Amino acid sequence: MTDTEKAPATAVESPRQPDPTLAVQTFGLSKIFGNLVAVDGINLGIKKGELFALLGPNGAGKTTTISMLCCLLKPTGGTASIMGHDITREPYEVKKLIGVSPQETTLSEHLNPLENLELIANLHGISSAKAKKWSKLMLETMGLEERARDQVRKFSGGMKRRLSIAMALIHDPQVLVLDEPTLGLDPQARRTVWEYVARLKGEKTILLTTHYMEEADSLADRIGIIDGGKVVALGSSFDLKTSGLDKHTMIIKGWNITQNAVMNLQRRYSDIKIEGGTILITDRHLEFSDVVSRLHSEGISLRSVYFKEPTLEDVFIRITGKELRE
Amino acid sequence: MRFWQLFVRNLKETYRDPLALGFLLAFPLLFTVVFGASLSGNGTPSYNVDFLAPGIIVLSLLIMIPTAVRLLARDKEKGYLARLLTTPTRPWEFILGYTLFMLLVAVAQIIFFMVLAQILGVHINGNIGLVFLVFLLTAIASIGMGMLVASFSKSKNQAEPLTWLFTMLLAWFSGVWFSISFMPRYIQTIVNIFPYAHAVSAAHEILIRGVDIAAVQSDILFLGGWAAGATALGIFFFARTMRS
Repeated sequence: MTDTEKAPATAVESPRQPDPTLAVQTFGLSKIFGNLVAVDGINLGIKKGELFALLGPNGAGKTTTISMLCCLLKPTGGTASIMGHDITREPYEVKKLIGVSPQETTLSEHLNPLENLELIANLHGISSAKAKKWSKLMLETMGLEERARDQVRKFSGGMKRRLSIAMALIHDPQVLVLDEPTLGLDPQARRTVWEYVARLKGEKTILLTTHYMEEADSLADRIGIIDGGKVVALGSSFDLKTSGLDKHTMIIKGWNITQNAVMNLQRRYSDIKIEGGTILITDRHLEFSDVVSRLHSEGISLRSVYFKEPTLEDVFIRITGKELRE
Repeated sequence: MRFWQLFVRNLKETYRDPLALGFLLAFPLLFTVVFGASLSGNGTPSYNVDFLAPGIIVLSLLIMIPTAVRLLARDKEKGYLARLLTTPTRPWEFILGYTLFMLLVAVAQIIFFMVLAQILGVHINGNIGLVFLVFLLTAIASIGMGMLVASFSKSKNQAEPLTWLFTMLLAWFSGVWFSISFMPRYIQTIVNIFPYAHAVSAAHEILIRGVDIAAVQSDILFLGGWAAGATALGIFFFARTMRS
């Protein structure tokens, strides 16, 4: 993917022909609750084996979209297909192909992790013997084997989340849906979950929703930014950050920054801010060598000079005019 | 046999949860002990443990309403039901898995309290099978009502206290602790709409006075109607919540 697609702003009825290269495809998918348009004609295609992140603030329509794809909510308009099966016409076929880890860590609290895993495996039609074997293996993979006989109500948030992902994977689904997999976790537990998800990359098609930019940035092959029920931008993290970026910011730290040095820079660059011993220059045509030579000519000894990396937060603000709060 | 897996899960969730067990057994047991002890003196012959035994059993079956609400509304509220609904399990398998479990609890309660009544010295003169049928129909009606409430409830915290209040009011006015003949006629009319006064009356007639089925036929038909109606409505509305 080289170019960033700007998704259509309104619901567009695209031809409902499933593309065999796509694992998940939505066709003008919409959901309206009373007067609230929660999802507004989303057209998306997620490639097989891709890790796709739907990034947006709370209430953007991420969970509603996921709920429709998992056949938990009926769309008000449009439809979607999972591995070629229509979510409205073939919900039970779709449910066989997907594994879902919901936003809330929903477990059977008085059951132990093995029992939780075996139950979900059995409900997916896996025989008891296989379910037992797979559950043990899955617990080992998730590093929970030592707590196999403890009731899950005694587990920490991070352990519950790992078990929740294991439950979504127990029947070896083709499409894994992770709704806010690290919501409410401390940074260390969050990193552990990321490691597990990263291991699955390429093996499964993964649809992940998150409002953590860092999560989408570090894990996803492609990101769809969702706001007000619409996908407002789509592309890889790099594409999103660089496309439409018309100005760059350079951060300069020096030991002896003088007024003269700043004035020298101002002759060429108009947007200059000074914060402590740091100069920030924002301009359409920033030249590294030019900035360095101007400062050297003023006798400034530099500590560091670098371009500020654009973040997904910047992208979000640029596209929606709002901040994406964590 | 997905329904069986759900049945086993519900069973484990309940017997490993001290609070759930407390509601199901300890609460009616407490009433039995308190009333049994307070009536063990030289009370009037018409108001003794014999009179109270059917009422106490019906009370335990009334508690099946909040029990069903607790189980279903909790799974619904916490999103556990939604998680289960992402598997290829059909709505009827869910309903069977939950109702079978609640039915088992009800049967266990009936047996437990009937044995307890015997231990406490209740004179059982009538047909045990017939009285069991009365209690079973009452339990099914309670489960149906519980499902109905859970279908419309948004959360366990909202549904459970309201259901407890309703259950306790119903217990008070259904002749569990004293005969409804003491109550004003308009209260009797309201109370008779619900199955519990009929259950207490029929169980009392069968257990203590030893009457046959002909004498309690109308009560049994009424209870059967309630069991069928409440279950049908409960299943209909609960299945509807699963197909949102």
